[in-house]
Amino acid sequence: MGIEGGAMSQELIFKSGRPDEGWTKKYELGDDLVSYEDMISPEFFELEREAIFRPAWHYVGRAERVSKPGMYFTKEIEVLKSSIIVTRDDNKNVRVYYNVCPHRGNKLMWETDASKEVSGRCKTFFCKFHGIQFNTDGKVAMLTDTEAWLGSQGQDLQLAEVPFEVWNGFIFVNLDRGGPKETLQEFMGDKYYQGFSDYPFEKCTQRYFVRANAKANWKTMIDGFSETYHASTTHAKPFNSAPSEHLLLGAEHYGMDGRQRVMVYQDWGEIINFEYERLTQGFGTGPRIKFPDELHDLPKISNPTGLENWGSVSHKIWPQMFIQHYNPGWYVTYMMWPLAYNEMRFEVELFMPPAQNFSDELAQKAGIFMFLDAALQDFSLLEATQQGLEVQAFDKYPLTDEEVLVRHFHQSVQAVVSEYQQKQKANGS
Amino acid sequence: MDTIKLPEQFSELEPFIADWANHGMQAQYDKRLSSTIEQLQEFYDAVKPRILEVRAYLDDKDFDDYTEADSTLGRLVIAWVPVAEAVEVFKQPRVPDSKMYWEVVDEPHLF
Repeated sequence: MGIEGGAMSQELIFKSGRPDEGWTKKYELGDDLVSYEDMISPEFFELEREAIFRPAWHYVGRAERVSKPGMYFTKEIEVLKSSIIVTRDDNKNVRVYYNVCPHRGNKLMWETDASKEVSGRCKTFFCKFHGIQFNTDGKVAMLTDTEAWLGSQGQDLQLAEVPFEVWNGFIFVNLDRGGPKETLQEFMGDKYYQGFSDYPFEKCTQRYFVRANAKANWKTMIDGFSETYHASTTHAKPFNSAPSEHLLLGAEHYGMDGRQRVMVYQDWGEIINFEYERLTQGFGTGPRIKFPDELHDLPKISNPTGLENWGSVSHKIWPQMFIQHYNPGWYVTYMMWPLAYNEMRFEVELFMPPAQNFSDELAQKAGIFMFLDAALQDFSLLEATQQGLEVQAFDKYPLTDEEVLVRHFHQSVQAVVSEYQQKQKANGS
Repeated sequence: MDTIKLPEQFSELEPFIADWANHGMQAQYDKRLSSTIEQLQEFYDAVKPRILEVRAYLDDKDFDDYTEADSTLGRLVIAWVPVAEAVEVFKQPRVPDSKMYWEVVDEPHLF
């Protein structure tokens, strides 16, 4: 790629892959106006908690975060009022426990503020209350006041295990009462579960993790990232674009598979609008430097139409996880964790291969800083969305054909909640 | 105390070290937010003409072989990035219509 550039914004036109009959008709989703009652109702949120989040498998972190025995991190899952410890035991197996001491029910691993996540490496998990220690296999390592325990109740203490599966290096947990109703494969669907095998996610060892809370429903962020239509307006400055009567940044492909959704768009990396981009080779879509070929060669599921100049593909994995690849082959995960009907925590993890030299590092940092500024533009809209919806000026809203994934997502949410309600009714509760 | 704070050929940038050669993305971005656009412009103008030279100079070294002066130079140029994005793209320190910035929880540190 040349280092010189300077294209004008009108060249920032992506071919839209919209079929002749349109996406909405193609996927037979109907053209009704859509209600967003599901984003402003505390009662609906309580239903989502049990219908959607309780039975779901949740991504909590990459296996590389616990690459050595004793490494651990905690994860707060507020929507299920849960806290877990992910670790690797002395036999090098991943283990996941509830972050609770089996003695008096204290939260086990925390520092300063019990509601904050912690990570590190340790020989044993130490309870701050009575000093009992647990090995990474969950069994008691050291008991205190050993003479006072009744029978074997002290020695028998054991951390409670959380069902988990490791899928392509992504650790998923299930917090359903009585254990998972479905395996991760059944939950995800075969196509998704198998679709990424062989893709070397683990080569992207450089992890950047940022987060923020917003006073907005968790679905507002998912909706925001479910089309490219907003980009020429929301990101007008970084992409040197402008609101237009025409679709400037179209998606090549919108796809659906059960409750999973995918969005693909073309590459715009050759366009240099700013001096910083020329000098650093970092862009709003990430660094433009040589990455290993195997990171660029996406599996079929990530490039379903075989697009040669793919720019990005975003997998929206039910219910609240996105995995998004960017050319030349780095990826980002998003988690939209609900905290209340009108509050969420947004977590972004960016994964890159190791920089080989300073220029690589500079390009990565420039790409990440700009990417995060662009993401901040999306994120900063959410509270305005929530506040606007809560006015209830309208009962229903239209969605364009480019917003077909928004339509599909809200229909999926409604379907899962309705199914749960019917089951509850059948059970007489 | 060692008075050489940057590799000699980049010594003209030393007055910027105290304010700008911060460690980590959070501190680097916070400095952008707490500066005026004029302060950002001054730092931007000073570093920009040297970026390609810095790249060529540091690319000759493994990260493990960086001297303290090299690391400081590297941080100074990385810190230039969010400043350049403010100056060139947004024309103001803060992303328009945003009231906060991300909490940077974790990031790699190569040098």
